[in-house]
Amino acid sequence: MGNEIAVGQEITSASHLISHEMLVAFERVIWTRVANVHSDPVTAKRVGMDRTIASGQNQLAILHQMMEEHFGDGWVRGGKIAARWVCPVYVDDTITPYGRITAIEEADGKQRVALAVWCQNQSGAKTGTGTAQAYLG
Amino acid sequence: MSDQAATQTIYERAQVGETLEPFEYVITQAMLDEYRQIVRNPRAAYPTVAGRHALRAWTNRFGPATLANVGAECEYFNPVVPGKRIRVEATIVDKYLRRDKPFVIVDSTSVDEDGRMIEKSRLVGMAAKGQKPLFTEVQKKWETK
Repeated sequence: MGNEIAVGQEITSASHLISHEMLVAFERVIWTRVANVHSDPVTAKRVGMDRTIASGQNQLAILHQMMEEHFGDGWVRGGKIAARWVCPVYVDDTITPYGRITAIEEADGKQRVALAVWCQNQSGAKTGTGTAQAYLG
Repeated sequence: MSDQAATQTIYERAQVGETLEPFEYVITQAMLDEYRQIVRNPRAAYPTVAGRHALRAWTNRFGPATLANVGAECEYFNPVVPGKRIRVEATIVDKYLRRDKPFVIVDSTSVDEDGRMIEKSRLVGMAAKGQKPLFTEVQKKWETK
């Protein structure tokens, strides 16, 4: 993106279908967890849910991808994000990440961009909201 | 476990300032490749997103399904180098009741075997309360928004 960005500009990235297979795989790839509301429909039903839900970390990974695509190493080395998971993401939902540039400032001799970020489901509901920062260039 | 500990809720047992047991692990190239495939991001630099460092330290102390992730705050310094051992240290830094919901804040830092800071992350969690299943409480929070 380089110098082309401006306050108010919106960014996005690929939409993700939250499949059962993905939820199961996500729960075991780095830290193998016991069957839970993310991976196991029986466990989900036991706590009153009619289907499994994605973890907040699933949404965080989707936001990461958007930040990596748009800001590259400026995100990877020095990126920050703060998010709250405000609405459930159910299996078979489709989640799309968005960002809106809110500020571009000098920091540590470099330009640093601040964004409002959010994830949205196929119905347009925001499922996660927050802020992020990355270096430019 | 003492009788008192047995009857306390998880929220009551969590003590602000408590240092959780550090743990170490290795993310191999195969694990990184698999993570990237799962999240469909071929450049993903932080598979630690699925490692859930703060939650893992909490779970090692209090057990599974005792804290629901309702928010995250992360700062990234250096991408994970496959094969390097990562050490995670975590501390309970706050807890509070909001709208009668018990929240716990856990901070973690992750450093690799060469002393490289990987990330600092904060978990905003909702703790298990009484005998009610944890996610029943989380659902209620979502429904009352």
